[in-house]
Amino acid sequence: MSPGTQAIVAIAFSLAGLVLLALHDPKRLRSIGAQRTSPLSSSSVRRALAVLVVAPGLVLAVLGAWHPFLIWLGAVCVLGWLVSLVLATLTTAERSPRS
Amino acid sequence: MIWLSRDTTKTLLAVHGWSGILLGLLLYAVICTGVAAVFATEINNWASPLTRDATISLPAGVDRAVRDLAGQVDPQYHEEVATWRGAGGRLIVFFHRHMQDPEGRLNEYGVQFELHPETHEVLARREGWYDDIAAQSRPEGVAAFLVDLHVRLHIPEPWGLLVTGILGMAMMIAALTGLFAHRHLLKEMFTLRLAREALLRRRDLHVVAGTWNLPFAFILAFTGSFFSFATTLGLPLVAKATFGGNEEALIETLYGAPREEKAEPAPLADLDAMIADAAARSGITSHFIGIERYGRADATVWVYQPLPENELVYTSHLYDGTTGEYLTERPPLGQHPSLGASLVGLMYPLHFGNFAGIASKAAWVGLGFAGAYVTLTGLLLWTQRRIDQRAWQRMARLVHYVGYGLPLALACAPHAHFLFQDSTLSSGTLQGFAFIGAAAVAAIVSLACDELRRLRRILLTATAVAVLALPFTRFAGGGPGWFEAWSSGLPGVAGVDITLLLVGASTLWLARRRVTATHAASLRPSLEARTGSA
Amino acid sequence: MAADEANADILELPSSGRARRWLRVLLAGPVVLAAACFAVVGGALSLPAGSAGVNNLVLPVVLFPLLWAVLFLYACLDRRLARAWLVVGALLGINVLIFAWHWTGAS
Repeated sequence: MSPGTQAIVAIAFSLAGLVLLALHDPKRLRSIGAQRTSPLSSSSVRRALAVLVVAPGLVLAVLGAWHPFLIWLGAVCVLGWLVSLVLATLTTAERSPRS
Repeated sequence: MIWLSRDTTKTLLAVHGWSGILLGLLLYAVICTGVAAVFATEINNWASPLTRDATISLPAGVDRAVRDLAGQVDPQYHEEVATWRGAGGRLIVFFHRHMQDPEGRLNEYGVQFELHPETHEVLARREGWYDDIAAQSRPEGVAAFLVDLHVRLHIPEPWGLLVTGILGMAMMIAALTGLFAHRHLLKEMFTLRLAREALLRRRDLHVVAGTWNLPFAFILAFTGSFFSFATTLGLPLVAKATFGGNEEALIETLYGAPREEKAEPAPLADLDAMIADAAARSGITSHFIGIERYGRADATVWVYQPLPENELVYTSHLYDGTTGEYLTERPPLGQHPSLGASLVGLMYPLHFGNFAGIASKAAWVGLGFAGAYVTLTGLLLWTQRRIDQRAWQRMARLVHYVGYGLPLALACAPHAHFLFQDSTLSSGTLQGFAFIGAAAVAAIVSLACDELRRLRRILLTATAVAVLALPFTRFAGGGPGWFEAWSSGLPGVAGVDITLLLVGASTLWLARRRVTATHAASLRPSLEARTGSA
Repeated sequence: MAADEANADILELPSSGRARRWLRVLLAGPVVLAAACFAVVGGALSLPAGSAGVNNLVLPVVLFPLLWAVLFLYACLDRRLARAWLVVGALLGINVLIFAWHWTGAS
């Protein structure tokens, strides 16, 4: 598998974990006035999802795939921020009354 | 996240805020130009395309080119010869010697040739100090302006490097204090309360972006400070301590390849063979060659390559210049691998992000953009918190001017490069005039505009127009159209054009985006009139 | 707080807020910078060179920005100003002595 492909696969796994973590983040749900928290908001599930986010990078590091590792690390830092921003923008747009 | 006393947290926040507000505007400029500088090679290939083979790898026939040119140059400049690929794939050959410049610094003086990589036709010949030669090079002009602004804010050395070094320090301090002051870093990393009042919204935007950007904010700040301080403070101090102030002796210890001195003339061995040998050893083609003592029996050839797959510390291959015999593989510093050499070698891929082509560069652009966003939102948050005070109202206006005016000035600069190709003024000077002109107009608009939200919209719209116009200006300045570029094997030209069009369109959308009705209703009318929204 | 005030009396530091603030600024500014610079000098003279003979020359240069930042933060955060002056002053003093000893020994 080429370094580029390794990085993309790792980023895809981490992105899935990030999206799930963000969607079911307890503080985020409270801040938007969600009626009930999701089962995926429990600590144990969140820890497992955090492992899903971090594990691909650890695998790359153990394999000595440093180029894909650095690309993965940078991408996760940017995507984590973008996921938060996009979710918040969509939620705000959904809930704002039409002007 | 990390429990600290209330007083300590208050102090950390004060240090975080004040270091940010005092240095944040300049730091923002360094970060913005750094984002663009990641793609310096691509920008140069777009601005000054020449050949389909616009890679950084050295082309075939370097040996013939160097020999032909060596005969046209005063032998005093055979002390060192450097060869690399420039804008549009041009082959650059620089014959030079090291001597003290008028400012008393050790510098390089010599003759530089710019060749067509396939025909070896001499496109340009320049003589002088290296910095002056670089400033005269029009093909490199667009990226050089950005890079110079990033590295030293166009302030003469060593002061410019000291300033950017201090700015890197400020970013490190902001990252460290932000990490320790924010008690609920992990709990709040997905929480953005965009529908709430402006101050809370701004706080969340800054904190969430800052949280995700923390690791690389620290890495980029640390590596950037290293590059700025190494030659201005670090090496002079070490030279003073260990070599009685003799920096040349220190450089020789770190970078030299001690060989027995033999001053008698001897022809250089086949450079192409050495380049091929280095490529066979490392599996990657070379992109830089240095020849020490060209034409002498003790000539040494250094062959450098981009980082091989999954390597993070670069090495060079050394050859006997007269026999072509392979001597050794050298670490970045010293004769053998060491902790110090590895740490220095790591600085390059971590800061420049160019270790894995477009993929790593794209990630680093994203990180840089996030860093600029964190800086700007921090400045906006700080000034908004104090908006009732007149002085901070002025500061808020200044933050809007720099925050949204700097990208405008940066987007206007290359237009001068393209539109005045026949000018006797250097590309850097022309772009400087355009940059200052745009900044001056933006300053007038900033002073005249009564509402900051309107100011933001005006500056962003102007930036969008400047960026959208760049492909057309490039074409008007004699650059190839898309069809001509494609059929000449220059797809990068259209690629960058399309990227600029997308960036311009996105900026226009951002400028015209309205705040939601919920958010607008939550703003106090007096505050809205004075502060606008981000 | 009482213990801090007692220590301040023992070391005869000015108790006025303005004077303490200026002492803090002096410490976190030029004194810390001097300490970091002399740490580079001291490190170059005292760190092991390593098998390649360059570690002592390079490591201080690499670590200089981090050292300056950490010392600056320490100078800002230590509640006991006198102790902060002592710590930074000791670091500066030790490295000045190393340099002076090497310089006089070498000459």
